Amino acid sequence: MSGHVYKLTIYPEKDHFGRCHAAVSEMARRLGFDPEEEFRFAVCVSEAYTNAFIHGNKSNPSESINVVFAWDEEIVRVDVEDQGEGKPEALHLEDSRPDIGCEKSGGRGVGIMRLFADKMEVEERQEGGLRVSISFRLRRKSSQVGVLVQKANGGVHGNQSN
Amino acid sequence: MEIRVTENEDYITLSLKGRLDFASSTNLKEEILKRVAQGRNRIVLNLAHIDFINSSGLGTLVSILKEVRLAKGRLALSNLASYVEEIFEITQLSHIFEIYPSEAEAHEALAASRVNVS
Repeated sequence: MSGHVYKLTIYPEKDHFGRCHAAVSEMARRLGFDPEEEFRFAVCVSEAYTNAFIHGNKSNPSESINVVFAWDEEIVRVDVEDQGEGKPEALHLEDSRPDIGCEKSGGRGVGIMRLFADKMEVEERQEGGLRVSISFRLRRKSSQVGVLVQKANGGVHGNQSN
Repeated sequence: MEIRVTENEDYITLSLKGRLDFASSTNLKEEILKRVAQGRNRIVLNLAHIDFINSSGLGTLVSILKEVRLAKGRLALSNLASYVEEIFEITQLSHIFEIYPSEAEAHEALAASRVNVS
């Protein structure tokens, strides 16, 4: 995909879920999502990020998670990459309808991603770990995203390339 | 996530503000189970100011619902934003939770059931 790329590396330190969410919300606003689109986008990235932290990195605080946004005028794709053992079966992809066993306490994340996103893919990374890629069609032309390099407490680092 | 609690004789109301996700869910469950252990088992969760919920938050709500039911209580949700309600619908959780448009209607439902029992 040609276009823009913005990569965050998040270490699971204080409020790392919040920092991921803030970055996703900012990206959604800059891409011109309305509130409902932003919510679905944020939920999907959150599901992938949570799975990466819990199932991929086994909640290991020393292992980072990459969140990579790539977009052009038509599509935005978010790759969430963990540093774990790279076992897709840990995500229970076959059990992916979010309404299966609706009184269970967990296991809805993959199903929600598949329903909310236009496309979802999972692959093993060559360097180890899994990459979950979720794509959304953009209804409007995406505006140029300004540089989103920010250094927050706890180690959120990002950089953009065109 | 912020939690504001109000109580009366018939029920307790927890008004939630912020994100209901993996990080915040544990705290919510602890707050509710603490009160259930004290015999307060008619609970309204006002989600008007919940701007984000994911499967972790949903899972915690299911877990809380099960505990409240075990205590022979009731749990009602109110004031869901349209996109929050959507996620309840696609997961079919709208069928297992009592969901009301307003806090007042949730209060009325819980208070009425208490009158019917006594």
